[in-house]
Amino acid sequence: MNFSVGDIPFFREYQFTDTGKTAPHFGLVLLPENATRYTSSVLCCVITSQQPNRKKWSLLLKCSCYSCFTNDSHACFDRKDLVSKNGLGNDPQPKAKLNKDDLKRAYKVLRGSLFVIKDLANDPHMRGVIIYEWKKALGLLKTRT
Amino acid sequence: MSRLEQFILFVLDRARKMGIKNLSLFQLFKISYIIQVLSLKYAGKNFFPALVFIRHQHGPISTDIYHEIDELIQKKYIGKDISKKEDYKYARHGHKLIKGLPRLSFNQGEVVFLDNFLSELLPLSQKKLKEYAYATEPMEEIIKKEKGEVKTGVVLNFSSVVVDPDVVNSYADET
Repeated sequence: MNFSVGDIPFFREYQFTDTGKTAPHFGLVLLPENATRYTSSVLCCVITSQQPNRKKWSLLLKCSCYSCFTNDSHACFDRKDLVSKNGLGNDPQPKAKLNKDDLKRAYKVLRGSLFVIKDLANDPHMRGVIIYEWKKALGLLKTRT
Repeated sequence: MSRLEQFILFVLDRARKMGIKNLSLFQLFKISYIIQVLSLKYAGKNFFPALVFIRHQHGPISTDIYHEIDELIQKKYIGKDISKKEDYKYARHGHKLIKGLPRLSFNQGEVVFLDNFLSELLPLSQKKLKEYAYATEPMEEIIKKEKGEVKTGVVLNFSSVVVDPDVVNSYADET
């Protein structure tokens, strides 16, 4: 499976980059796999059914819209990780994809987080490529080729 | 090893991994040029701080890249495949990596940036790469001034590249 921006895979072992701890989690894909394929990982932000620590940097994903969730969940853009694909669940992936409205809402929160949250994406080139890919996914860039 | 030398080796390594046998000088010039433009547009900074591109009949070229490739051939990092087609008078010089990739000094963000854009650029034909390069601001600017006569040798002006408005930090006061 070649993941794209907005995909929602399930990881039986989602490894957090900052602590190295693992837990089963859904993730929201922030960059197409082409960008990270040589490290066999995917850039994601964690999705949790618990209340986010910082609501400002999260997006509510309703279980009524995404059948893979049993509860309303939150994509947390202040928790970005390069997650190993070895931790993916065995069943077909991704489990869902953000709908267009949520993709737009997600981009607004994500973009702000790229400048404010001091994490692995707070680097000019990493930030730039994330912005490019999300604008492409939203149809905000003119295609050249 | 200079940043430009490292970049050339990185591109040839990714080409090899994608099953592309070799890259012509034309491809290396255009890919380096486009990466410089994309870096300005989306990261807000040059990828190669002091690299100069000049206008050539077939788009942007850089003598710096030419010299670095020569250096890398002498250091035996790069080998050349030379082939010729009957219907074209010039031989094609294809460049390929003949050693393992040495340890490079690009940071994680730069590697992700390069891998993402190289996955788009490397599969493109020479014609498509040329079209891509011609659709960038520095090339559009010089073509506008030329009025039909190619200004070979003129240094391309990267200050005409428009930074994407979304990469400008409008959150500076937030915590």
